[in-house]
Amino acid sequence: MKIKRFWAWPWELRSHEILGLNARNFFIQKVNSRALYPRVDDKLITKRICQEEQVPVPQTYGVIEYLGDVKQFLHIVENHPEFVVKPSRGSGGRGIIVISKNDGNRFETPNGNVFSFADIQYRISAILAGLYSLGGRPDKIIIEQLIKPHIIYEKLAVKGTPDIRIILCHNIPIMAMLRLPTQTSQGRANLHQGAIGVGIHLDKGETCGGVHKNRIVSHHPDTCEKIEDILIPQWEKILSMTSRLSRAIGLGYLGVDIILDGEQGPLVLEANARPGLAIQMANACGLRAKLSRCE
Amino acid sequence: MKEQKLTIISAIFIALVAITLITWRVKSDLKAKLSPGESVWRLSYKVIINKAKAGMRLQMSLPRTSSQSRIFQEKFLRSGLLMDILRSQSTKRREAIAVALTDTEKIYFTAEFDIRLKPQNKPSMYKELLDANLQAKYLTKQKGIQAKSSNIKKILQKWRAQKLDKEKLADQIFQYCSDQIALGGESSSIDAKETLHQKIGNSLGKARAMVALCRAGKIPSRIAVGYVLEKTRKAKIHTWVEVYLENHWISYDPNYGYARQLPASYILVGYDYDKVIQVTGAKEWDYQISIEKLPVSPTSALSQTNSLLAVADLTRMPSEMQNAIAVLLLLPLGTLITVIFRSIIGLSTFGTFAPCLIALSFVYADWRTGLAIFLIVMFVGLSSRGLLNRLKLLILPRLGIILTLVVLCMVMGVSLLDYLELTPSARTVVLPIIILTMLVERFYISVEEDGIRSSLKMLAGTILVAFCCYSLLSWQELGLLAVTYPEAQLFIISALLILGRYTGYRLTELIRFRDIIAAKKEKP
Repeated sequence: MKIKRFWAWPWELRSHEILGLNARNFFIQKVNSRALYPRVDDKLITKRICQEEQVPVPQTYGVIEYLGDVKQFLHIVENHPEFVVKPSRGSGGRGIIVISKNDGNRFETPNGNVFSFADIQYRISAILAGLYSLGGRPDKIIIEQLIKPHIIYEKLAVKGTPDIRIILCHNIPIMAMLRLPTQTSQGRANLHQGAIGVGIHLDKGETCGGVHKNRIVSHHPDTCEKIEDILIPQWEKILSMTSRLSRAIGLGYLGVDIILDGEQGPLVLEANARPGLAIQMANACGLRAKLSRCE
Repeated sequence: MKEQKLTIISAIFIALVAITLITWRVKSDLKAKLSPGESVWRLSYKVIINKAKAGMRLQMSLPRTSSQSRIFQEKFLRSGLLMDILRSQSTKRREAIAVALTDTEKIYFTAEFDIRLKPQNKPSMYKELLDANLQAKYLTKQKGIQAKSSNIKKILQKWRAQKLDKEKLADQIFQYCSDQIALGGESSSIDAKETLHQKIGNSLGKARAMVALCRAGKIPSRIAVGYVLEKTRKAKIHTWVEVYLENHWISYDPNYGYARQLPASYILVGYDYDKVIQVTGAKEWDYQISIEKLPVSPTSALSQTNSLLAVADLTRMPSEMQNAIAVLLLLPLGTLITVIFRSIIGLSTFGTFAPCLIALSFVYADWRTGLAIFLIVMFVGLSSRGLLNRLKLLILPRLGIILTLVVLCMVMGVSLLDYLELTPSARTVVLPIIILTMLVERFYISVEEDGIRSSLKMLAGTILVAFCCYSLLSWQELGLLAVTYPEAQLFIISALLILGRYTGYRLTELIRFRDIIAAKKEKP
């Protein structure tokens, strides 16, 4: 039996058109203007752009900007039995509170934890003070609709909601993957935190092999469910809406995260000016050629 | 790829400039070595102390720089002794004081001074305004200088009649001492009165005789102590005379017959004391002074020109300053290493320059103290950070609290070491603390965001890069090279320019993406 090599040669990677971090950083520096970064770093701005372009987003129930407005919270969530509280500048899913039961002054999370209004008030002031934003900058709070995951996720999702990452170069979708949270990622959909990336065939909207912790996998490690050959519903719509959003944001290299709601279909969650490179692993395919083609 | 070309061209250009500057410096240095009349000497003291008690104190007067001689390097080898150099502002005297902390059977203390001589035809005199008190001090009697003795006054009688002015009188006295009194061996008289009576004395005796005569003749004068740089196996301390005339100190050597102008080889150590080295608190001690001529000049040519160009020669600065400069000059090399580790090897570290700063802070501590500090800061920092996490504080106050706790622990630790009589130097402790506290915060955030595994990986990366930087920064020969050729920094800029355009794969990516290649091979 031939022993599997522990590394790949640079020319092998090059012949497979793999994009390295150094090359990616160069490309980003060339096509992404720093001045446009706030459009993706601040979710409120991203949301506003989406709404202007009629790209569907989770419905915003309210925004809290200042500590003095915390009292408005009860008023905002008055008629919403379930909702999500999240920092506008947070990253990696930090600081998000999901409430699935709202009794007016008693809030329950899907895990069964119960918060009083005072608890919520404390957490909100922590977010406003910048606890979860990079470098501790003052932040804003978005209170928005809770997503009901699409039926196709039922067997794939563990502890969290999967999302779809699409990478666009000059407004053309060039690669896509489905990100599945796992036990190790603790419900978060970030690949470096242990989520699975599943490649999506761009033309068909069908999943192909996946990657977990930088290694290629074909089944979900927690549920043992097959992750290949899943058809993503409304694929055409997803592609056209990300393309529209990318044009409005104006960044030449962009990652857009989309979530599939059971009722409303695809919704844009957030955008990213420095999307990672693991998507190449998920698709078993390099980005380099696609980038130069778009150029 | 216009930028690519431009970058490479400028990198090559900068490297060429560096090469040109270095060649120019080396060439001018070679020329400097040939300049006539100049010489380089090494004066060394070797002190051997037997059965030293704790608190043993060694006091050593250091040679001084003059217009004709320059000490360009000082080295002290002091096994287990605590040492400091004291400068007296008023007398310009420099003294090294070394103290033993524990009882020691045998102590070797070596001091080396590299001196460059450039002979000039200038009178050995310099201006100093003395007030009446000081003038009086240089006129009174002293041990071995019996300025008030009647025998000495009698000798002066013969010049009284001539009504000489002070300058002429000093010259007469010098003539008398150098011609009429013979230079005896070490064992001959060291006393002015004795020497004048027996008409023979050793170098100290003759000098004292002249001083006594001058003082008796109302001319302020003093004994100068130092060395004459010449090829001898066993060098000894030499004494001569300085006479105060019209606000100037003027040198005379009645032993070797030099008046008003001394050769460059006279190196001054101090005035009016005969013990250059003193040891208290030890049973037996002995010392040896040696003088040797060094074959070539290790110093640069630039420093000899009095022009502004001398600024480009960093080796002319005092050795303590040079050590600090060396570390600073190696810092860019440290950043280059960090860049190589990050963008070519692909190791992730906490912060871009944190590893380099950690290394810098450890240069001032020895590695054992450094490691102890590292462990304490990490332990105290991480545990207090974990407790504070429950309180959900803002980042700056939280960092402040951690820093306070770390400082408290460190100070108590230092106090404990002191109690155990293992005092570490305070300077070594201060710098690492702050840098390491920042590291604690980053590590903790990373643990929360990316999990313990990848955080430990990053920590290992940080330590590895910090270690590489540390070995560079504490490499003394490299530091000396950096101080000698500061223009070599341009090479680093040019290397960074090239690295700044590197778009190839990182080494870790070759492992990370290996499965794509493997998968592709299986599929088709």
